[in-house]
Amino acid sequence: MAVPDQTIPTHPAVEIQGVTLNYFTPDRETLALANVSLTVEQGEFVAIVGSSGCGKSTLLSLVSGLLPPSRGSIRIDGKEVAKPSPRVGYMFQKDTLLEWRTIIDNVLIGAELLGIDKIVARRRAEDLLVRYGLGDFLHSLPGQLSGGMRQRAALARTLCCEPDLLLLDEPFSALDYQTRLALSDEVAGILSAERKTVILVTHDIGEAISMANRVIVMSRRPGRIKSERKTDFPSFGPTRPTPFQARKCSEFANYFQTIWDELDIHQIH
Amino acid sequence: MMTSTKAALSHFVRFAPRSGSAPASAPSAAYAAYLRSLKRRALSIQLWQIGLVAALLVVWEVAPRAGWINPMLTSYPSAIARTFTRMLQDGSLTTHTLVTLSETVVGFVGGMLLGTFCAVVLWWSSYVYRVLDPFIVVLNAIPKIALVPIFYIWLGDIASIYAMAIAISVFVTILMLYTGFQAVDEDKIKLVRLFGASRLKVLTKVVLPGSVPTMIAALKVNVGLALVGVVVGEFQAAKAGLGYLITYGSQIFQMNLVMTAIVVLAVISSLLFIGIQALESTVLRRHGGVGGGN
Amino acid sequence: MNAKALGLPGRILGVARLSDGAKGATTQRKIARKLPVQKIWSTTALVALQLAVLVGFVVLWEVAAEFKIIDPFFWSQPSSIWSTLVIFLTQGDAFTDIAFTFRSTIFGFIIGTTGGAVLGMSFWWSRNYAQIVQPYIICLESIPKLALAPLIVLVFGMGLSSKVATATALTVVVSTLTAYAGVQAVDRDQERLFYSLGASRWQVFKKLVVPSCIPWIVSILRVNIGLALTGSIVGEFVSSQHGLGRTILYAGSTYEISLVWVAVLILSALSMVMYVTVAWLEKVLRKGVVH
Repeated sequence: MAVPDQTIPTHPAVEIQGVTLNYFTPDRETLALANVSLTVEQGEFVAIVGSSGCGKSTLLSLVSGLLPPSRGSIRIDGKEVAKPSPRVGYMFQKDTLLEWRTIIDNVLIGAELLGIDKIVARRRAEDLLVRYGLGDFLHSLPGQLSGGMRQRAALARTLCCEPDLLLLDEPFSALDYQTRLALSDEVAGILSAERKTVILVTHDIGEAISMANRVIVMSRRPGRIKSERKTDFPSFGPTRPTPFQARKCSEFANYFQTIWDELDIHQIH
Repeated sequence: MMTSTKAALSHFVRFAPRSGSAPASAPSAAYAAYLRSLKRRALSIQLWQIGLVAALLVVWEVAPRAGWINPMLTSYPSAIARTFTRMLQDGSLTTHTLVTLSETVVGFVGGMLLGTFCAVVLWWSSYVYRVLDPFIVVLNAIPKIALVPIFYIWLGDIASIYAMAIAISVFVTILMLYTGFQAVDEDKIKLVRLFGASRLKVLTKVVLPGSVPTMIAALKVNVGLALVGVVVGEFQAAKAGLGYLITYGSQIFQMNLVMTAIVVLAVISSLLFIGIQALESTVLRRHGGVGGGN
Repeated sequence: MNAKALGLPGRILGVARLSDGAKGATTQRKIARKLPVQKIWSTTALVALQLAVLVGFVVLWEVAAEFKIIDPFFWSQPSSIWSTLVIFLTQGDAFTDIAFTFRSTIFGFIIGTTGGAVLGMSFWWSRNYAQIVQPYIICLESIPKLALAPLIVLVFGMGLSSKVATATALTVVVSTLTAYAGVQAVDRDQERLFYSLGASRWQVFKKLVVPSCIPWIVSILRVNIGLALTGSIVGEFVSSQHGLGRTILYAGSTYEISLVWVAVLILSALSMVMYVTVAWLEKVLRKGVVH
């Protein structure tokens, strides 16, 4: 009997189950994350918002394999995470470009470390940089570029190794507001075109709502998941609006208000 | 079992060990385990440090006796200890130490005062600075220590040592202080000037107080340099002092004398350094600033 | 007010602007009078003055010695210094001495700087090892290493190696501490980036730690060359057959003051040349590692 192809289940991209993290320093122990569970499907764009210190960046470190959880498990594509993998791309708040290398050499750092074929990698790197508007700056040093351009180069570096999962840790917070708006449009476009699975961590609610399919709110330390909601914009039409267009949709203000109320930033203590 | 990467990551992040089926009260137990492991690590580091010193002393004592190295060149820890106690008891060690110490103190104090005065003059008149700048650069590039023989001829055995210590300290002080004066926050100077301050007032109320951290840094450097200048001066000229002991001892192949003097020198040097560190923390705490007048 | 200010020779900085917003004529004048007036002289005027100072100094010295105002035996005079210089260069051991001092300095500089850099960077590998060794390095730093010169000469002999050893002793500790400071300053986020890409420790060391530490080491080169030279000279003072330091000592002991000055002058020239070369080297290296 013929079995339809679709019955072979694909694993969700990321499965976080009951994860707890205890953080130790000589002075005190801190419970950073308490029993966090989250599932991210393939191709989904998920944003996590929360006040400072709620553990959202720590959660990304756990997913990337840089830290092990104290309890619970994290699986990527059904496999337990043991250590960092090139299939997972990580973008930091600072561009962390190496100051002594040219832009193209910076983009190729991942390929160098992983031993990927140099010619293939170089072609891909050049292609990415040209697409992001940095074609004239292949051989410049990071110090010669603006903040926005450096973040774009960092994005190229992250995508050069063709990761399946992208973890973005407040990648735009170090930029000025206008650059941030422009860049989030570009990045959202690139990532959806390539159908990447993305987990974005940010404290900018507007950014989260406009860029992501689903927004997750985390409570303050110890971090727990407070709520999840899909952020669709049916008033725009059948397709999803770009982040900039999304801000003008009527649903935007509602989402913003609800999430704002949920975040306990404004509670003085 | 931690992979090497995780071991490396413990450099910058500390994390709890995996506890599979531990009960809810485990956090405290795990944390206690973490604290214990920290203590163990600190202890093992200290043991290693002591162990290395002990091993060195043992090898130093045994090797000449076993004929591996020439005892004329290295002496033994036991002989050095004996010489040390003997010299301490008959007072000769104290005499020599005080000689060197007093020369050093006079040297760096004199050097700092003179250097501060010159730095103020250079700051006061940028014209004078621009005229004298190349001369200062050239004089600074000369290794002052090369002038020891000539100082000896001009000033005799005692004064030449003081002169050398002062000479070495002066130049470093001038450079460091002048740079420090220039680095005082321009806005603070503007503020005081807008209240009608004269140049002297600017100096006494803003520039000098704002340069206290620089002066302490210069003091730290000067103490070391003055001590070196004194010791090398004593090589050449003296009939007393730790430098004299080192030269004399090595000339008559009494390495125990040399080593004793070196040990005492190291101790004085460390004590002076610690003293200045303590001075630094008290002064900076009252002063409230780090680096050129922040 | 402004006219008066502008009437002074040269350009005045800062005065004109203040008088724009100032309250009254009297206040303006008061403030203007107390502000320093920086006249900018042309470079030629400055250089001329500097040359005049130098020439004046030499002439004064010569005259004072000629007229026995100062004792020419003790202080020597420019004319005899000049003739001694000529003799030293043409007939004397000038070049042997210069070469000797130069060689020991350069060797000590290179060995000390590279050795110290490697040692300092090695502290990155293991925090434990770094913490164990650190107090020793600090201890070694506080010992005046020049005091060890007689000991070093005793162990290494009179030749070049003892001077190289002294020079190395001075430079290696400074280089180690500087390289270690560079290691501690490595950007944590860049380290995380490397590990997140799955890099091995050796890769992180080669591609991140070493390039990060290079600017630190470059910044210390100028200090090191001075230290190396000092080490060589003191080594020669203790015991040597050649070298400029040895010449100074020898000439001093035989009261040939002119020769002492000649040797000091040549030493100063050598020192300046090395210093300038290292400063140039530093600039070149900085361009390749822009921060």
